[in-house]
Amino acid sequence: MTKKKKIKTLILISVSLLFLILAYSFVNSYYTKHTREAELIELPDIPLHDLSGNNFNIEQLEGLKILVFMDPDCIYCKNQIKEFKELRKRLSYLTIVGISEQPLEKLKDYINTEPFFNEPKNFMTHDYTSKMADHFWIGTTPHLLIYDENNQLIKQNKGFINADKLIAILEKVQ
Amino acid sequence: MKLKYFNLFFLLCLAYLGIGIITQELLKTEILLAETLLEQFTRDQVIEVVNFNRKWEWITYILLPIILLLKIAVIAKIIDVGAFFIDKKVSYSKLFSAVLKAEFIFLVAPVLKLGWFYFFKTDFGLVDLQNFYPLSLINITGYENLKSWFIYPLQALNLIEMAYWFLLAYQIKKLLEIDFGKSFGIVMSSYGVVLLIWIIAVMFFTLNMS
Repeated sequence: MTKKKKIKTLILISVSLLFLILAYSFVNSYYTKHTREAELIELPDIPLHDLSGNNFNIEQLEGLKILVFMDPDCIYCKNQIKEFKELRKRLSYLTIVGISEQPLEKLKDYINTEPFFNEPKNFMTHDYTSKMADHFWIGTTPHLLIYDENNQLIKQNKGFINADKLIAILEKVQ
Repeated sequence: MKLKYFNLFFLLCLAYLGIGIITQELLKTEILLAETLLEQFTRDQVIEVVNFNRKWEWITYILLPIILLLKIAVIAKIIDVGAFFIDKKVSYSKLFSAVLKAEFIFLVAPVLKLGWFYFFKTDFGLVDLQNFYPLSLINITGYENLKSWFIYPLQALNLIEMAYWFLLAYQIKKLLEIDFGKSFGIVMSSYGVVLLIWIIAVMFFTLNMS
């Protein structure tokens, strides 16, 4: 084999390898993501606690529900709560469940300063085992999940979303 | 870089910058950005972001020629390798010049984009501006219900890219004194393959970041 032929073979092998590695990585990532998304479609049976330490079962909530993973210190979560207040004025039938991994005492202090979660159909819960956050692969807060009356996922939103957009999504379902 | 290439390259950079500045002014992109950010951030935070953008805007002016130079140099090298595969020898500077000339076709995209949003679709948001690519497949499929990783490949498949391939092939035909079919084959098997790898790489990173 001549030197030129060897170089050509080497280039061909390198390019083919690069192509195959990238294509494999892409397909692999796609299926991992797809599987992960499929796991979220049904509301999981993972225990949560209310702030008094009692079991809180999300599955038993009726109608449309918004789960929001949040942290009381996060500014975007505070802005999200403002939007929820706006949403509440226009849509009263849905349930909003705040979920946080923060220490229980901190959450209790928080709901004393933020009355939103003391209103009917709004709940603040404690993900004391972090299993719920792990199940949903929560990386940032706020992270919203909207489930319909049959506990099937309608929409997942990473980050803040304003009331108008939320209403548009919810009205499509109704 | 020879002086005549430098002049051409300088003209290309200037054209990109000029169109960029005109687009910013006519389409009021700064206001669009602020409006979009106001949906998620407080007024003070948005002002901070806008001021930060204004302060560091000059970096774009430095980065643009560097990225363009890198792009042209890499594509010229890729085509050089393509020519090597059919046992044709051509000087790198001539290939660089061919790629540089062909690169001017991509100026059509920002001009058409500006025209589209200035004259026809005057009610638009930042997302529309980001996702629109003139004469591309994304204009047929739309991007509203598309997964984010699928947007780039649909933007990349466009008539301007096709024209670029033909322009490159035409110049290589003249440089190597071969027929058009063969020169188009060189473009397809070298630049085409690398473009495909690039598109998959972008899709992979977008998929993992979304």
